[in-house]
Formats: sequence, C-alpha cells, structure tokens
Amino acid sequence: MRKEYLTRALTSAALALPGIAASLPAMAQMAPPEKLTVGMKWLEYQDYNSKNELMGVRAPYVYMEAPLNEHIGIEGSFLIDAIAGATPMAPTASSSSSGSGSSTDTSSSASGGGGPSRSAFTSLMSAAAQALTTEAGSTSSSSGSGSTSDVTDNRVAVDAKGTYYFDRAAVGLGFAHSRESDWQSNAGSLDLRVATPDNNRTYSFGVGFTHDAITSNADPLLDETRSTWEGMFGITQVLSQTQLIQSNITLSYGSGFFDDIYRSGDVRPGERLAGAWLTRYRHYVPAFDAAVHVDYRLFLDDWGLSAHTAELAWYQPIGDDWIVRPFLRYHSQDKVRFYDSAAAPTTGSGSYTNDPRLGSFGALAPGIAVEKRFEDGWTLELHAEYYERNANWHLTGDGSNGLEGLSAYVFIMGVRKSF
Amino acid sequence: MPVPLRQCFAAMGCDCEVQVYAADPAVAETAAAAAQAEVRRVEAKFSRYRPDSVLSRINAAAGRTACPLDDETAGLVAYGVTCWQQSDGAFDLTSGVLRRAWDFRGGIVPSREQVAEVRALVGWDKVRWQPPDLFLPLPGMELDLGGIAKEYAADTAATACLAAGAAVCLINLGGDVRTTGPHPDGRPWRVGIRHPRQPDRRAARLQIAAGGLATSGDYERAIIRDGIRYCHILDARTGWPVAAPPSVTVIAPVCLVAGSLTTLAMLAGPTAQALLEAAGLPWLLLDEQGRRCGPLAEKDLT
Repeated sequence: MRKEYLTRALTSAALALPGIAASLPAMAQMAPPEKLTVGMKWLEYQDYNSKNELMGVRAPYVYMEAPLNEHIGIEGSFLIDAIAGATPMAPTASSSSSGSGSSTDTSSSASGGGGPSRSAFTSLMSAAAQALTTEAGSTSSSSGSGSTSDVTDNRVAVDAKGTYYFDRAAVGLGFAHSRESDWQSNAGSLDLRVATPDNNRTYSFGVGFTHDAITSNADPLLDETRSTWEGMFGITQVLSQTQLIQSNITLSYGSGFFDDIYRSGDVRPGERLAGAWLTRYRHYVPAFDAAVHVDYRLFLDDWGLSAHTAELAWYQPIGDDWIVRPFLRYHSQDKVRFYDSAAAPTTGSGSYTNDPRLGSFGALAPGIAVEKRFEDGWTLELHAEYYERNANWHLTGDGSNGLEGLSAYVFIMGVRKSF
Repeated sequence: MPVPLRQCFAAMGCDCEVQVYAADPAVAETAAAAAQAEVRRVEAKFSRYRPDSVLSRINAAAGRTACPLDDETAGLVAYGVTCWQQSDGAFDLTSGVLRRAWDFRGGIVPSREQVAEVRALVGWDKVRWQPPDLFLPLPGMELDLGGIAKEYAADTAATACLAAGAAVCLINLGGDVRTTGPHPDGRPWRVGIRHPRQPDRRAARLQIAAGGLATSGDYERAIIRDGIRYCHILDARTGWPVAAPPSVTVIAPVCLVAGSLTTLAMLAGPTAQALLEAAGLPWLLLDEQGRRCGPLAEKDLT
C-alpha cells in the first residue's frame, strides 16, 4: 500500500459524509507555513505575430517561505529576467503594479485570497502570459509594430512579505521592488484575512500602493511617475463538503504617466479608474478524487475597456505524488475609446493608442500543468501553455478591424524542496 | 481555570461522555443535550437491534427488493466501500451475519462447516449498489454499519454540539473520542488507553488537541480456547478471527477515520505496523504486556 494513500482515501470518503466536515478543527489556512520551503523556477516565454518572433522572456526565479515562529511566517522571492525582442521592450514585464490583477493566479490558494500584493513571479506571469491579453495596466509595448531594432533588457525584482497569524485571522505586510534600465517600481501592501468561528467563511481585505518611475532609453529627458492605489475585498465561502466559492472585488486608481513611450503617437489619459470582479468556484468530485476549477473575471475601467475572462480546469491527483491540471482559458474584451489600429493617430488631438492589447479581440489559452512529488520533500513542476489572440474570436464578433493576431507559448519548469 | 460541563450517559452499547465549554452554563447544557440527542439519533437509525431502523428495513428486503437509501446512509455505505477496497475485502459491510456462527458471549468456537455456511452470505462483491439503491441479493444477507456508526456518531455529535453553541467539546463514545479543539487555555485533552490484559490498568496516557482518537483491542470480546485467543475482529474473506495486535490506537482529523484505521490495522494482523506506518498518522500499538510501540509511544505521559 502506498504511503498515505490509505489515509487520503478514507479521509476524502469521510469528508463526503454530512456532518463530518463541519466539525473539523481550524484549517491550516490560518497558520504560518509549517516548513521552510525554497524553490526555483525557470520561465521561457516567446510570442509571434504572422511575420516573426516578437518578444522572448527568459527568467530564473528563486523564492522561499518559512515559519519564523508559531505566529509569524515570512516569504520572499528574487527574479532576474532577460527580455529580448525585435521591438523596444521597455516596461513590458515590469509593472508589478496596477490594475492587472491576474485572472489566472493559480498559485494563490482558493481559500486564502491575498491582498493586492503579488510575488515577482506572479507579476512576471501576468506580464508575460496574461497582460498581453488585457487591460494591460502597464504601458508596455511587447507586440507593437513600431521600431524593429533589437533590444534586450534585464529586470531585477525582489519582494518580501511577513504575515502574523492569529487564531482566526492573519495580517500581512508586503513590499516589492522592481528595476530595469528605464523603469523602477516600488510597491507596498497590507492585507487582512478573518475567518468565521465555523471556518466556513473567510473575509479578505487589502490595500496596496505602487509608485512607478519611468524613463526612456531613447529620450534622456523623459522623467515621469505614476502612482496607483488599490483596494480589495473578498469572501471565501465553503458551500458544502465538496464545494467552495471565492469572490473578490478590486478597485484601483492610478494617476500619472500611462503612455507607451516606445509606441509612436501613443497618448493616454493621465488617470485610470478600474474595477475587477473575480469569482472562483471549486468542486471536488469524489468519484475521481479530482476537482473542477471554474474562474470568471470581469474587468472594467474608465478608459472604456471591458474584459471577460473565464477559465476551466480539471485538477487531478494521480496516485500519491502526481498532480495533473489541464486547463482552458478564454478571454474577450472591448477596446478602450481611444484605440485605433491605424499606425498613426488619425484624430488630431486627445488620446490615442494602437496597442493591440487595448483593442477588441478574443483569445484562447489551453495548457497543462504537472506536478510530481518525490521523497525527501522534493517537488518538480512543469507548466506549458499556448496562447492565441485573434480579433475574430471576440465574444460578439466585434473584434477591432486590423488588429494584429498574436500567438505565444509559456513554459515553466520549477523545483522546490521543503525541509 | 474554566471547567467544562461533563455529562455521562449510556448509548450504543457503551459508556458515553460529553464535555463542553461554552460562553455560559445554559448554553453548555443545551449543547451537551444536543450532542447526546445526536448520538441517540445515529444509534436509532443504524441499530440492527431495532426493527424500525433504516438498517432493519434494508435487511428485511434482502433477496427481495432493492432499497433506496437516504443521503446519510448512502454516505456511510460509500465510506464502508472505501474501507472494503482499502482492506482488499477483509473489512466488509456484510460481515455482520458471521455473528450467527460466532457466539462470543457463549464462548463457543464454531465448526468449519458452521462458519462456511454463513460465510456464503458475506461479500460486498455480491451486493448490487447503484447509489442510492442497494440490493442484498441473497435472503439472509445483512448490511451492518456497526463497524463505523459509533465513530461517525462521535463526529456528528461534535458537529451538533458546536452548532448548539459550544465553544469546544469532547465526545467519548466508549473510547471513540472526538474533540473540536483544545481546552480554552490551550491545553490538549488527555486520554487514557486501557491495558489490553488488565482492564483496570491504564497502559498509556495520550494527548490530543483536536481531532479523533480511536482504540481497537482484541480484548473487547474474545473466546479463549485451548490457549488460542479468538478475538472479535473477523476477516470477512475467511470468516475467522485474525491474529490481531492486542491494542491499536490512531489519531486522525476525525474519529471516523481514526476508527477505521484501527480496525484495518487489526485486520492486517502481523502486518499492522506496516499499515499504520503507511497511513502516516500518529499511532500506538500495545502488546500483551502493555509495552508501547509507535510514534505516540514517545509522547506518552505515563
């Protein structure tokens, strides 16, 4: 009999019974990590348009989390990435900031729900894999058709977070810093989680502030800043022994410089108010010892952008130490008011962008993540995802004319060890 | 230091106990009463001695018709099927009929023929189980949830107690223990484990902060004949007792799981220790002299 399989089989059968799960003692979610965990990941990202390769990101990333004592947990990460592209890359992957709260942040637990703070890795993922679909809070220019000079850039990002755990509550304080040649970002966050006495419901609150300083490799005189405030409220509710739902609302307000400095004629408003509503549903299926994950996210901002993102995933443990998670994500958005796919501003005044990520389109991203546990606390993770953006895939067929298609892949390989 | 309200009562064929901490004494009384009522409800529903129980209705239909089961009964059956699978058939919800051959009270060891005769009515693989419909195909077959109902009741009584306003409670149904958390000052509960050969002596004293604790022993009902101990743990595949360890204790998140693991360990006989190690939960084995073995032995307070 394989290790712990017996106990897991019995426990999941027991939890399917009425009256059993409701009596469980306080769950581990309100406790510091039990062990020291260190890990590293390697991310490869490459995207293409119809003509050629546009941007590649290659990022090694290390992270750790550790219990300091029975009440305090700390975590931190360090990331260096090299971005290479046929177009000037500037702030692409940076912006650990503003409104791009990722819709597919599968690393955060469905029950916890962190505040606005985001690890360097998550911000990288949202930049590399998702921000290109979106609302793109940042100015970035990953897939433009502007200049064609080869550009490489390096980014260094660090973040740290401390959490103090009470019996039914946890308070976290986080800080993140990111720097590249033409961009510097600092962010702080405070979040609070409170569970009800029966542990069936958790409330989450968070506030965050990000300050970005933007310069340009092409224009030595450019010296701009941007400040973004973010607030989050969420509820996680256990519906039954097999169902759990989480819903968060995030509001953000940014003020300052939003233009994409490497995109000619790009002028954006100096303020942005945005809201995102994310709902996650988890349904455990005892017959397969698996879980269905359904996520939906609505994003709206006062630039006129509205976006829907839905993700369906099947989380399947196999035997004792394999987990396989195939997923499919669909995204559809309506453009900002000032988007025009023409290569230069057609209207004489006001805001203008031809950034395809602010246009109207649909996108599909199928992928699979695999995790394998080994003896002695080692775990290997693999994640492969393909992404394709297409104006014709817009939900109601109203994609922007002339919007450039894009395909991309993301591979992540990681190992971690718990002590 | 606050003192819990403690009530003792008899149910499910054993001595029962509930201890409750609550904001005020009236709430504690209500919560303790709710726990007791829940134990009696489960007992009435799953007793094989009561002609009006759900179980009696199912068994009366054996060989005739399928019975639709309610959610709770179906859930317990599904749990029992998991135990059957995990024990390769040694644990079996239909093994209750073996009692017809094994009279532990009378102290008579049955003949091979007698055992084989009732053994023909045992076997989950014979049962047609299409949830929620259950059909016992042979007249005389019986469904018996006795191997899991008491542990289950300890868990649901704890749920009922919390729902009635208890802050923390401990339920003890004849050694099947469930607690929802430590004493308000943070101390864990202490549970004594009986010596397997000297009923008045305690062989170990364990601590549990939250979760379920269950003990299974070969001493509960046994026939000793010609120096051979025939314990009440019968292997459903043979109909005969197993050479079980004298006493097994397991701590698990809920009492139901703790109880099944002790039963499965008993059924594993000489390989009990390997099974417990594989289960990965805290356990304690006692031998005939009361000597302790297992991860909990190191935490013993005696």
